[in-house]
Parts: sequence; C-alpha cells; structure tokens
Amino acid sequence: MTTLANNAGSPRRGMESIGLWWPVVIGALALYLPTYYDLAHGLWDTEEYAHGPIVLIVTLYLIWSKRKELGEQPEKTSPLLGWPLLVVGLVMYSVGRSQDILLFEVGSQIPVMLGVLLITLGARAAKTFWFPLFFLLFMVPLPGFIIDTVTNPLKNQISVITEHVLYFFDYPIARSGVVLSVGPYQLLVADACSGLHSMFSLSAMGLLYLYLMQHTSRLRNVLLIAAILPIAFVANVVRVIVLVLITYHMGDEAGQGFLHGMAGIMLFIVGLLFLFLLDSVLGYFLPDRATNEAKAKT
Amino acid sequence: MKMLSYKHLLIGVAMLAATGLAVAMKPTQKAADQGSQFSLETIIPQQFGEWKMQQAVATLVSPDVQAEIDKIYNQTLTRTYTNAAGEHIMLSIAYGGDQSDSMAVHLPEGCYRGQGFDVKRSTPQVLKLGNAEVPVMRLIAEKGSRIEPITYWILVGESFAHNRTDRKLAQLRYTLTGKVPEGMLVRISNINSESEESFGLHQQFLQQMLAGMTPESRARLIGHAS
Repeated sequence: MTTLANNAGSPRRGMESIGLWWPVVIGALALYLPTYYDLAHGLWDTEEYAHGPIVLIVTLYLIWSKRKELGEQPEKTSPLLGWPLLVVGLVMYSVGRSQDILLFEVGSQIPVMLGVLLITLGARAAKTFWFPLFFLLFMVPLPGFIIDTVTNPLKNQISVITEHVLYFFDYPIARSGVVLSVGPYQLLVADACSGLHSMFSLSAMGLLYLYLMQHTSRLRNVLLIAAILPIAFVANVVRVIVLVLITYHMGDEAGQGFLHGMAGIMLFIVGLLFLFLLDSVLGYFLPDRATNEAKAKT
Repeated sequence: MKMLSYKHLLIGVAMLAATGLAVAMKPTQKAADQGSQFSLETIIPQQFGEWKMQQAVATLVSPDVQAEIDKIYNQTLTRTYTNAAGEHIMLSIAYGGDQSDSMAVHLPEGCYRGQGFDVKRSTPQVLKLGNAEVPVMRLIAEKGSRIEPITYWILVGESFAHNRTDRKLAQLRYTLTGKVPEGMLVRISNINSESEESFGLHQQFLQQMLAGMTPESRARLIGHAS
C-alpha cells in the first residue's frame, strides 16, 4: 500500500511496470495475428462482417487509452480464477483455429484477455476493461444455429410486410413464401435480405455510441438499447421496399447493380441516424445530470 | 523500469504453446480429397429395377441460387426417374467435402420453406433398404395444390445426422481424427396427395437404387449402415 501512495505523486505513475508486458504482447501476436490475417482475407471481405475490423480497431484503441491501468501495481490478483480462464481460452483457441471453428477461435479472445488481466492485475483492473472485452463479442461470427433459427422467420416477416405495404399503394405485387412478384419481375428475398447481420453491426455501433456518450440516466440507456433492434428491423424493411421499387421502376439491372450495394450502406446510416435522433429526443425528457465537477463550479 | 516478471513470462509461454498446439492439431486432409475420387453422375445408375431416368429437363434455378449451391457443395445431382406405371420420382443428391460450420449441408425443411412451401409432419423413420437400415426423415411440403412428400437423409462422415446436435457431434468426432468431414444429402420426392402411398414408393425406389449400385458407391450414400 505504501508503494501505491508513493506512486500517486510521481508523474510516471502507473508506468513503471508497463515494461513487464512484452512476453504477453508477443504471445498475443502469435495467437491472433494469423487469425486477423485470415479474417481480413475471408470473413471481413463479406458484406455481413464488414464491421469486424472496426470492432478490432475500436477495441485496441480502448485498451490503449487505458494502458496506464496495465502499468499499475497489482492490488489483489485473482490467479485462481485467472489461470483456469486463460487455459480454457487457449484450448478454445487451439480447437477453433485448427478445426476452422471461428466461433471458438475469435471468441477465445475474451477469456484469454480476461484471464490475463485477472492473473496480472486482479478483478478491479479487469473491471475497468469491461467494455472492450464485451465489445469483442461483436467480432465473433454469429453461430450457425442462431443464423438458421432467426433468418427464415425474419425473411418471411419482411416479405409479408413488403407485400402489404406495396399492395396498399396499389403496386401489382404477389408473394409466395419469400418470392415476391412485382409486375414482370420475380424477386427472391435472400438470406442476406433478412437484415440479421445489419442488426448485429448496428447493435455494435449503437452500444459503442452509448458507451462513449456516458449518459447518466439509466432509463435513457435502457430505452436506447431496447430501440436498437427494432430500428434495425424497420431500416431493413425500408431497404427491401426501396429495392423492390427500384427494380419495378428502373428494371432488374438497377435493382441488382450498384444500387443494391448503396442500399446496404444507406440502411446502416439511416439506422444510426434514427438512433441519434431518438437519443436527442430522449435528452429533452431525461437530460444528463451535471457531473460533480460542473456542479462544483456553479 | 522492471522488465521481467515470471507471471507475464508464463502467460506468454502458455500463449505460444497454444499457437503450437493449434498448428499441430490442424487436420491435413479433407476426407473428401483423401478417398478415391468419384462422380455422382456415374455412381448413381441411370436405370435400375423398374425405374428409368428421364432425359434431363432444364431446371430453372436463378443464377444467384446456383452460385450459392456451387459454393457449398462440391457436387450436386438432380434427376427425375419414371417407371412403367408413369409415376415420377425426383432424386436430388448434394455432396460437400467440407462440413465445417459455414459449409454444412442445408436441411430440406428450410429450403422448402424458403421457396414458399408449407412443411408439415417432419418425422424420423428407419427404412429397411436391402440389408441396410437407414434412418431417414419424412416430411410433406405443400404449396397451393402441389403436395410433395419427401424422404431424405444426411450422412456426415460415417454417421447419420438429422439435427444440429447430431451433426455437430459427428463433425467433432471426425475432426478429432484429423480429418475434415464430408457430408451427403440424399433427397427424393414426388408430387402426390396420397402421402402414404408415396412413402411406400420412395422406399421401393431407394431399395432398387441401392441394389443397382456397387458396394463402394453404396457406402458413399449410406455409410456402413447395415
């Protein structure tokens, strides 16, 4: 405890033991550089997981911005919890990496990191890193059973809603399953149109936004979190309707061409804007409490 | 500044060990590439028992669906057979050499629903086909007036796997031996509102088809079930 008190006065507080971390950094690079390399040449190239590199960069930045914590003297470490977690994480990694189970390979980052923090710095320090740890979840590809159980109902719902909306506006539209017929065109609402992945990436960005905003009102945070998925769903319905209209009015080529990709980006931007808008509206009713410092000044 | 701590060193060593372990555990061969090459076109006879292949009618599959199919499956086969009584049976076989998560065969229940069918009564059943006992799934897909009874089975590695857990287990069992498992989906159907009659016809069709194949080819479809 005395060393802690001494450290508090020094300008290099917390940086004395940062040099100890080199073996961990080397180990982590050996583990995950090949993973990131493969991801960059595979999953991240697909539209569905394009948010992957963003999640990685944000996580690294958040850790970097708290690097001082890594140099702190440990108060009370938890090796009994940390070592088993680390070992479980490493086994997950080995199995995942060797058997091409990305769920394990990428997901292992969380127990590995948490284990390392518990061993070296203890539970209190691990807590300050909770958000980067949690955020890493969004790097993990959705497991197949979730995709399978959710994709089809979503596709069906979206087809039904699209049919009803366009029928209401007197478009010649008919639906059988997830195949929509508009005028001379037949459109298949494909898996990618389910919007499942846009829900996933929009959730990631929405939660990051909330973390950075640090709203003091708990209700405001809860309402915004609850709104993310419905917003993503509605935005996706709008996207599908827009694509159907483009195809109907401008032809098949326009609907499948660059406008198709544009609509995907639009969906993302519109979803985020919706969320910001909702947040500022909520701000009127649930304003942030002034922080203690601000109070002290007034 | 201190530069050495046994804790951090130990963590680093553990991480390097895990990296090495992953490399050592990497399966080197896909089972599909290892076994002798085969072609679904040739191992399934064009004529067997009272059934004869109908000359191919171009099926209408949209290009993007076809691209998806090609990505997942190494080989697919779609044929229609007729018998003397003028009954039709549609046979569809899909073979994928890589059954890891992203590549697993798709369940027919999902495919038919996706095409706008209503899928009813999906029931497991064990069929006696010659000397073999093959666990299959039976279901009935309906779309408007089109009623299509379906019999199918999925073979992953050496075992039948009709639900997600079974498939995952089969996959893991296989990979522990250092191989990437292969998957085979065999599906037959016809259009007939008399489903009981159809299922009988399916069984008779499958029996004659398997009987008309060489033992090695048969093992490709039903493993070593007997």
